[in-house]
Parts: sequence; C-alpha cells; structure tokens
Amino acid sequence: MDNSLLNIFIIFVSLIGIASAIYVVAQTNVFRAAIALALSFMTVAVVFFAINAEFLGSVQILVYIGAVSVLMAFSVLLVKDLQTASSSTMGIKYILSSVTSLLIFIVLVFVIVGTDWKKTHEISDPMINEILFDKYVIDEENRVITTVSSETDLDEVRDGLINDSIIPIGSMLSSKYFISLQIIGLIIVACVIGSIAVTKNTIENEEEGDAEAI
Amino acid sequence: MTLEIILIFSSALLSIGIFGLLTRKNIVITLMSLELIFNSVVLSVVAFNRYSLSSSVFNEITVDNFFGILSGNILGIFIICVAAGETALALAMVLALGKFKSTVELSDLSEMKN
Repeated sequence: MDNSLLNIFIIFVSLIGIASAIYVVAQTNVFRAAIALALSFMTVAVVFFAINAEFLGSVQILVYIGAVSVLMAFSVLLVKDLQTASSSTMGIKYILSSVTSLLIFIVLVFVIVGTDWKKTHEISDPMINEILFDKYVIDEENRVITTVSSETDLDEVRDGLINDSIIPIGSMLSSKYFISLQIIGLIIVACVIGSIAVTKNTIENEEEGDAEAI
Repeated sequence: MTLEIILIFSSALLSIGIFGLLTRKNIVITLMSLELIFNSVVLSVVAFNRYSLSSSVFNEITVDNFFGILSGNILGIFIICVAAGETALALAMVLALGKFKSTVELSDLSEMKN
C-alpha cells in the first residue's frame, strides 16, 4: 500500500497544486486566477486517481474544471471591471491574516505528523487486535456472538472493493444513499432556479432601462 | 506515509484558501478561495476513506458494512455537488451586482450596515 514511488509522485503533484493555489490568491488578474484555479483542481484530481478514487477524480474533472472554472472565467468576461482586481493592501490586516493562516497550517502539520495513523495490518496491541480482528460477529438468528471461520483474506476483499470503486459507488448511490442523492438533486435544482431568477431580473431591468433611455 | 503527505497537501490548500478569504476583496477571488477550501476538505475525506482503519474493522463483508467501505467517496461526491450549486448561485449574484451596482468589491457592499 505504501510505496515510495507513489509518495514521490504525490509530493510532486502537491507542490504544483500548492504553487498554483498561491498564484490564485496572489493574482490581480482574475482571468489568470481562474486558469490557475483549474490547474489546482487538476492536481487534486490527479491525487484522487493516484489513491484509487477514480470516480471522484472523474467527478472532480467534470464538475470543477469543466463547470466551475469555466463558469468563473465566463463571469469574468461578462462583468465589466472584473478583469483586474484590487490587490490586497499591505497593512496590519494583511499581516494578521498571513499569521493566522500560517498558524493554522503549522498546527495542522504538527497534528498530522504527530498522530500515529494506524492501518489495519499495523496494529500491534494484541488486545485491540483481538477485539477488532479476531472475527467475532453477532449471529443474527441465534443472537449469540460467534467466531467466523473465514478462509478468505478480508483485507484482500476490501482492497479489491476499493480498487474497483465505481460499481460499489453506483450501487450505494442507488440503494442506501438514494434519498440523499434525491435531496442533492433537489438542492441543485433550487440553485439553478435561483440563479436563473437572479440573472433574469437583471436582463429584464436592463431592457427596461434601455427602453426608457430611448 | 501517503496519508500524511495527502493530509499536508490538504491543509496547505485549506490555509491558502483561508488566507485568500481574509485578504482579498474581489468577489470572484473570494469564491475561488472558498472552492480551494472545499477541495481540501474533499481531498482529506477521500484520503481518510482510503487509508484509515475504520472501514475494515468488520471481519465479514456483509450488506451493511459493504456500504461502509466506500462511504467517504459518497460524502465527497455530495460535497462537490453542493459546492457546485453554491458556486453557480454566487456567480449569478456577481453578474447581478456587476449590472446594478457596477462594483465587484466586497467592501463596497455595505447597504445593510447600520
């Protein structure tokens, strides 16, 4: 699971992503910032592909790069005076913001490095091993705790499920998380109707204004 | 080791996004910072789902815990969907603001103050 080539690849991709994210927040040209944002999304999608989350990688490319970044670029082109943004002023607020975000980053890095992230096969405490992995299950029919004599390696099964993640995700979305999927669809429909209403009012008012001007 | 690298990448994206939210006044760049924060959250959720312990404490692959194994990916999909809808709505408001008030700076929008 841990191989150094994958780690080096992810570090390389992460450096590109961090650089383009810094470019986004430091740039005064909003259109260039949108393009750099697409690059940053792309690096995240590459990391998704690298850790066997192919479905989410595809969704990331389709939704974020294909829709959100392009939408932002179009809105930059449609609104007057949006092309050049005011640069952030160097003041006490700037210094405080940089210190705050840097502190958040440092604290998170300390927590991440300091925590002992255990994986299934790395747990050494025999008691926890016994509780977690010694294959006790509740027999549903007889209501007793029994030991499973499973011949298959369950880690292997789990890794296989994660490696072929698309079919399980599809079956989960259409069975257990079906209501959630419908609610998400409702939210997106509400967002689309809301944005159409907002922009439609804009266009109508503009036409009325033109008529009055004439 | 891979989990730590991805989490550090994710926290870097998070802090860059917070920095952008705090310092910039342009609406679209503020939205971009917000998207960076959403992205970092999705990245960390998926990495935890891939590399953490919780989904494999079951010794049987049954109907119930079969659905637990990839639930982080499902959460990621839902976060992405909500973020995309929110961005569409916010950009529509940016268009309306650009038409009505001819401004794209957040500091100019202070009608509801006082």
